[in-house]
Amino acid sequence: MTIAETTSLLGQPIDIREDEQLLRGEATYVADLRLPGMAHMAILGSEHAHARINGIDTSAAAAMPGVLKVATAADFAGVMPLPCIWIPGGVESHFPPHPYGLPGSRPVLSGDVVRHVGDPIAVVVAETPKQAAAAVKAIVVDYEPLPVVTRADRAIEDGAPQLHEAVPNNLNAYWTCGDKERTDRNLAEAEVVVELDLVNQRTINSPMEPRGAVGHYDQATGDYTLYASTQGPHNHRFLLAALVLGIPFNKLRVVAPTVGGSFGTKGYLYPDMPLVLLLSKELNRPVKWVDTRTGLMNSTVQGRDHRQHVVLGGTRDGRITAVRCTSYANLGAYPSTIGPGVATALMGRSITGMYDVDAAFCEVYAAFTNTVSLGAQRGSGRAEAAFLMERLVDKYATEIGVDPAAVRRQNLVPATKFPYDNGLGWTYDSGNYQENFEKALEMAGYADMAGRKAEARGRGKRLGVGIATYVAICGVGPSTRMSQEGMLGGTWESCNIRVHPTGEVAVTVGSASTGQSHETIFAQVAADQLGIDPATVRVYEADTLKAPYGQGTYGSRSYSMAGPAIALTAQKIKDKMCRAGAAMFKVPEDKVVYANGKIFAEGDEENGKTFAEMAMAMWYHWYLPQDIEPALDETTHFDPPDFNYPFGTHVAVVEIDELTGETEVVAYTAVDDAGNIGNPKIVEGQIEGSITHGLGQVLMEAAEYDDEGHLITSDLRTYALPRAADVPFFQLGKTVTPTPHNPLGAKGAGEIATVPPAAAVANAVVDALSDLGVQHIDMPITPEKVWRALNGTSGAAQ
Amino acid sequence: MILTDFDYVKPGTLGEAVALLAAEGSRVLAGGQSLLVDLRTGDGTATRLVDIRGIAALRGVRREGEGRLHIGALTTLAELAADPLVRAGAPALAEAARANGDPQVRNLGTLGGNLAATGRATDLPVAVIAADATINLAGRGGQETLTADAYATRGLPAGAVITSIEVPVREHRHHSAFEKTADRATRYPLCAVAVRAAYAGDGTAADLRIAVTGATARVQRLRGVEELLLGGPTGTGEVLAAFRAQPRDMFVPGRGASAEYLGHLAGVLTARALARAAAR
Repeated sequence: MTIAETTSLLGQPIDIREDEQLLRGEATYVADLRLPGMAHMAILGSEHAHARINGIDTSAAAAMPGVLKVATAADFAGVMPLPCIWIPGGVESHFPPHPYGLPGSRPVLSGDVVRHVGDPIAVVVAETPKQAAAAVKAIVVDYEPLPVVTRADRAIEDGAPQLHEAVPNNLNAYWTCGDKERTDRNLAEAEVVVELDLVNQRTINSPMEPRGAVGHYDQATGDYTLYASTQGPHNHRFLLAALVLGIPFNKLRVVAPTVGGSFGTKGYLYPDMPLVLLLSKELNRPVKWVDTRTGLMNSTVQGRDHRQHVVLGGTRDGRITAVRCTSYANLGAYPSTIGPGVATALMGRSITGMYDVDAAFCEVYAAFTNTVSLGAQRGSGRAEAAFLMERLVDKYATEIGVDPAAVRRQNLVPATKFPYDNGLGWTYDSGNYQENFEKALEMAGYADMAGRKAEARGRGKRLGVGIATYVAICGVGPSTRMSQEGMLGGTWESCNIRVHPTGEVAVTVGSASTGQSHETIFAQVAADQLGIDPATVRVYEADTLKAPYGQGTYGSRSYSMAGPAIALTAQKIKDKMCRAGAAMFKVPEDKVVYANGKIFAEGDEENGKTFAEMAMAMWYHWYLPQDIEPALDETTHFDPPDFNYPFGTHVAVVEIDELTGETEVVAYTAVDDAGNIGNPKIVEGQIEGSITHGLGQVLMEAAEYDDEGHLITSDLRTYALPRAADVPFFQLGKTVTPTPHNPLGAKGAGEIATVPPAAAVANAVVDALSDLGVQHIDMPITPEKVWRALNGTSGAAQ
Repeated sequence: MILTDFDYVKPGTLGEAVALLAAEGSRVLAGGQSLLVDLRTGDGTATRLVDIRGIAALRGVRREGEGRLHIGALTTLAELAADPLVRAGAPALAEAARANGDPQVRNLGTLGGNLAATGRATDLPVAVIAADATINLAGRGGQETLTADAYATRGLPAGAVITSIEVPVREHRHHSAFEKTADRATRYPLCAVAVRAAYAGDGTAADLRIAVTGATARVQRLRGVEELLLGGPTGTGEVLAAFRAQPRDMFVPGRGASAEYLGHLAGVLTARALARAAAR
């Protein structure tokens, strides 16, 4: 057959079909679900960050109006603890136990000891949410407070409070990557060495929709259904059925209704999921639980939280020869489902970014503390890596008196060196870093900054400019490779395409959108590949009963993982149509042409068939050869040969008010390379949201725990999130370097632009204050910290 | 958070509203932008909400005799910010209204609610105090008026409904302005300042009212600063010096900022407000 060149739908900014129902508030979230006979669950979380529980009195709660059940850990003695499935790869690690010998995490309810504020102790199920909430308050817990530790570096010190019997000194793992000897030698021999102590502060994932779960046990069939805000329904089904509940896989269905954002929080197992299922079975009624904002902040995985000592060595003339990072990663009280892997591999292997560095080494002490569990947050690991590297490069440039842009230019990995082994474990697939870097500098007007600085000074403002580059591993990924990284599971993706007799198409994928416009882009990929109108394509996902197995949405993977699965499946459909066409047109297969959704014998387009006519013909299957099966229904499972590595250069321009210390980001240029882009409208939305997310961390966001382990910033009145008015108009550009690792040439896009903004803005602030000798200001860079730096007072500035 | 249970009534007249509010646990519902949040978080309680939005007498902005503006308590923040009479006659008040929250909050939030939300630092009180406005109230004892200074020192009497305010329209020699640095999380003032000033021919301050919120324990008039600046120039240097001369405990830490920084910030905002007022 011949597949003719056709006008591509890919790359077109077609309208996002999900937006209208989302913007009108018409989409159905977990909180909107109403099942007949549904009861409501509330969870009692610990008031103490670390305490022994000497007793729980539930009698008053049980007697309250509408209360159907009060349960504590004793009610779930037969239920397994939640497992952890991404552990630090290749090193000794210590976890709480799981009966299958797997790394364990936490019990569904804590019985003897609580380890963070919010640690679930008891639940109430009542007729209404209000009754359940009221009854939870009537449960009396006899706590015996224990000493508390909230910092990873302190948790591994001798004499620190101990969280888990099976984890000596709270040390989950000491993990390393890179060449320690060579790095240390290069540092010892370096002409210039610069160092920084960095706090990449903990941040709170703040999707618009907090999590929720509805459990429904059908007594007639013995089937369980979980409706949950999940970004990976198949994974949740497997982990819950096999490793927590111990029920047949066939008995559990997981459905994700519309999910209102995730940013890395909704792929995890949380105690509420097994709890609603177990209580539904016990009460023979559907049981619903929906979190509050403050509940989310005390239960849902948080992000970042590394304390680092970082060192860079180089020559006097600007050649970087070594980078070394020692990091203390705070995993929280229990390992989240994938937390330990995020804190080690994603960060450590990424620390040299776009630079061709002779030797690098990273060591991570991953430790448990009395805080909420750590997980991914958009850009996780890679953002921490870019922050340390880009801050180091600026300090190095200042030290040797060379323009920071020139130092970067001198050290970029040359375009001729791909695939490039970064010496830390990643092999960069493709890149043209020079083109990307120069484009960003030109768009930002980097060459003209001196004049702008002088002009701003006349207005009482200090203008600063900061550059940050990055490489962000995405497209997770190759399953075997991920197993080497400590992932206990597969990371492939899937697609099924079913062509209806009318020629309409159903595309079903294993992924599950949490706001990434999957319906639009997956229909666009299928329509492009099949040469049909995208309006005739429906996309289904997020229901384990209907969707082919897949791993969900995370790590900016869906377009570069499910997208190729769709393209490969469409190819199977076209191949089959052409084989049928050969029989119908009575020509050899290689004389059948498929073009723009039409099938015809070469040179005879007039007597060809449309896509819809072929669909109907295959549905009837009249007079077709026996070796061509009826109907058009194909499935592909895609496991890529390796990851993909998007990259980019961001330039931030800030103005600092000399009197108040307020920092305003007045211009922001981002040039990102995500390979071939399917729908620029979707990608631009993700990039703008990602930059805003990064600006939040550098300027205002911080999860603050007091010494007793109480989260001080436990609602949106105390935890600042960036609003539209806080960010400038973003000047976006792109370069396009396709990956060889999938048929679309697509790289990850959803989180990549979260990686560099914190470093770009921090560099810009330090640039604005450089004449004062300021070398670093810890995030979040608040007006008071800058004011103190301006006045040379107190310890805010190093 | 789950909203607690309460009764809801919507009277048509002020008299009915005042009678309903006499019962314990009754609270006034106007824009609901503070009250409903407090009821959800548990920071406030109510057994009955008396919705006053049906009372026509509480609406409208009009000139009242010579040199005064009458502004109904139900005037929304968006209306205040856009009203030509307010913008011309009491620009600091319009600026303070505009500085509130976001468009949705300004479309629902009211003048009266903003002045009554004494549990948090809101934007309008400093503008009302600096403008030397009077606040009209209705309570069990009938109509009552409160001077701006009495409002600044004593707050509102319990059980009273704000019905309107009377603002002296800027006389030729009076100029006002409002400045704010918003708290990043809430957008309430980290610090907000309103000033009203009159200047002598040589540019020195002949009359001065300065009010601050956020940086201090509660909204207040800064008489100590006024006294130091009166009769002299009001450049940034003089204003910051006047703030530094205030008692050390005048400013209080909050929202992650130290008292030292907030005192300095109040000074900077005052200097900027005075500079803008002088240029008007």
